[in-house]
Amino acid sequence: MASKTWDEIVSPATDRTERANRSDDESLAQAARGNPAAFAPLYERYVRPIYAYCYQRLGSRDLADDATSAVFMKAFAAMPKYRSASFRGWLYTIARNVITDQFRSQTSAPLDRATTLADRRPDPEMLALAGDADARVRHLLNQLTPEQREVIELDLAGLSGREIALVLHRREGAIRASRFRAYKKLRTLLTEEELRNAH
Amino acid sequence: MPTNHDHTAEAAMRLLYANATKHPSPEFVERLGRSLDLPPSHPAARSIPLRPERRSAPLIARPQQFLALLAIVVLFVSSAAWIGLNDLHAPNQSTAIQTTPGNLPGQRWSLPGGDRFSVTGYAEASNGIFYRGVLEVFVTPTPRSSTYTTTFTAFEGNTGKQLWSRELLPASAADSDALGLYLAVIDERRAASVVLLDAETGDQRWKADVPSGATHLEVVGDNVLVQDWANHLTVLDRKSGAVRWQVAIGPPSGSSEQATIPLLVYGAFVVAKAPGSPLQVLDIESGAVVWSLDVGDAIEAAISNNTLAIIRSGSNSSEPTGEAEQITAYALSTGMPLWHRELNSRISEQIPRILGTRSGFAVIARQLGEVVSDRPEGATAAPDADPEALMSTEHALGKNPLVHILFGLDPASGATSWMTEWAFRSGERDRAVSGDIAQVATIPGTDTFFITTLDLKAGWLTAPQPKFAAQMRYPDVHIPFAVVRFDGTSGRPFDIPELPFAIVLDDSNAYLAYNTAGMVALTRGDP
Repeated sequence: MASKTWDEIVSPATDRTERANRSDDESLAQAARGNPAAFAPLYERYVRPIYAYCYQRLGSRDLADDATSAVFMKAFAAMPKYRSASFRGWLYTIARNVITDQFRSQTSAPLDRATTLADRRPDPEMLALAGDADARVRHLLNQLTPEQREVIELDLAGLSGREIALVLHRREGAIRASRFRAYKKLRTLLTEEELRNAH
Repeated sequence: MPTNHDHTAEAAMRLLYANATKHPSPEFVERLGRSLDLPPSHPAARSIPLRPERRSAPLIARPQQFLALLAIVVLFVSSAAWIGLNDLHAPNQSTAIQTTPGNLPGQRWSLPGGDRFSVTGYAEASNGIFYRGVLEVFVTPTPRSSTYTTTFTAFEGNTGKQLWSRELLPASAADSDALGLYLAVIDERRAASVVLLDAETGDQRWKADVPSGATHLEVVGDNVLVQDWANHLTVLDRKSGAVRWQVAIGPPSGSSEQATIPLLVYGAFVVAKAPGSPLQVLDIESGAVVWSLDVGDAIEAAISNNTLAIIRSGSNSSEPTGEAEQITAYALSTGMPLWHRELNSRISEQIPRILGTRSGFAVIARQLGEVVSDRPEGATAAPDADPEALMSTEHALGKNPLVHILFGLDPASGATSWMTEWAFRSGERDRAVSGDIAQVATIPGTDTFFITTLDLKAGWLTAPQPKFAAQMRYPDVHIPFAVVRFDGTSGRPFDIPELPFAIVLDDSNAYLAYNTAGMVALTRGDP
């Protein structure tokens, strides 16, 4: 896989597109309440980010396939009654709940441990040594508390602090605090090369 | 409170994350798009499931008309308060769903539902007769053309005997009373009307033209109230169909967008709201405005004891602010503000629901996080009265985040009168799956309300009850016809947790449990 540079990730053009997309999310979502045709662009816009989020949480393509399917089926079914303030926040809330249900269906462990049960793949440290960027991210996130990890995963998925607060049903101030502590911790875990590459 | 963080670490993590991001395969994106039946403009689109042979001449041949048909399908289903999603995107399969009579408490009889080419819509019940509507769509692939029919069937409530069946135009709203079944229908030229079908014979007793397709239809006393897409409110005489009065409650929207709150009728008052317009309270006899109020983005409303309670979103901003949702109550006859409460729950997949019962309001809020807000003193959230309840709820949240908090509010003061937590669970204790709420309904004139879930189970609660004493019957009963489907191409279970399910109430002594797979009549068995 070709690596992306930091500039490619946060280029102004991308940022403008993102803002434009978000600005018409709500009008599309409102239209999709009465007309399924309007759901198509929302599906196109979010199927890949939602898949990436599900994969990050669940750690396998099969599970990510199942979860992504469930997210969009639930969202499509619920569109006629959609009345949230943020389509993206609403969609990620569904995704989070679907993932939680997947954890439940896979394990008999108490639910409050679910956020720590995501990684069923080989030792992430070993994979990281083998240069697997996915495993490296997973390994780093596993060093955080479950609460911090959820915040950072949504943050990396591109959600704003308000949207993360919406998804996690926590106060925005609490999200800011978790985010601050998480990146402070990550700063100590990232290698010098990784930090250097970010500049 | 820290507001800044290590931007170098953030940038490094974003870079790592971007390089680690996994994308779905194009085949997966296309397959999922197909299963959602996205319209032809989408590269992954396909038509509504193909029926093997078309039964009549094509009515629709152009994509625009096809989209209009899709809109009708969605309107048909959504206005009936549940979604026939499994029928809209069912995969190829050969496994037919059959009812399993005899093992549901109180079951009287059962009937199979439609097949995967049909969408089961309306469930109505009145005077010992149950009504069911089925929309069938027929599509040919080349050239693409579609036609559709809507069949309404009446059943005798005690025995399940079919009384009559009529094939009609697509309907967008329905209600029933002793005279029969009232339907808002739309013809091929998009002309809208309301018809009354005789309860005993199914014959059309009258037909009345209305300005556009109905979003709400309510029969109250001698009046048939119809709210339509163009934001008119029309009141018809239920015996003759004559227009008694008609008013505009907002500017024409020109779309099928529904009002932000449902049409409410209580005594001599009608409460109506169009999107973007003030809430209006009208005199049911004349249509005169009694009072009106700009309630912004009101999202739910209910009436109890001459008190109108409205739930507003926590913020009017298009961006979420994390603000709590608010309930404000007004005197129904004057509009005078009575009380104001703040909820602690945040909008999630489901907004809080509010129901008006004989004795008060019942609020149903899905909780995923904190139970008591940290708002400034004097603005505490409901439910706020009992630490024991909080502990109990926290315990439940630890086991299952899909817990609903239910609480009653006194109409006069807004005080919390009862509170409970509630969730449907299936499976073993620690593998429980709880359900989202699909439908809530009050039995008129009583303190009983219903909740049906998207997890194939049904229960009822009686309110108000002493704290923690809400009763639930059939707490863990799987509706027998809600079996898991299988994908005939892979043998994989096609487990749609939100397989639709609803209950309608008859004014005699029975309930009709209902989904796209079948219907079951239950003995009412009220306490």
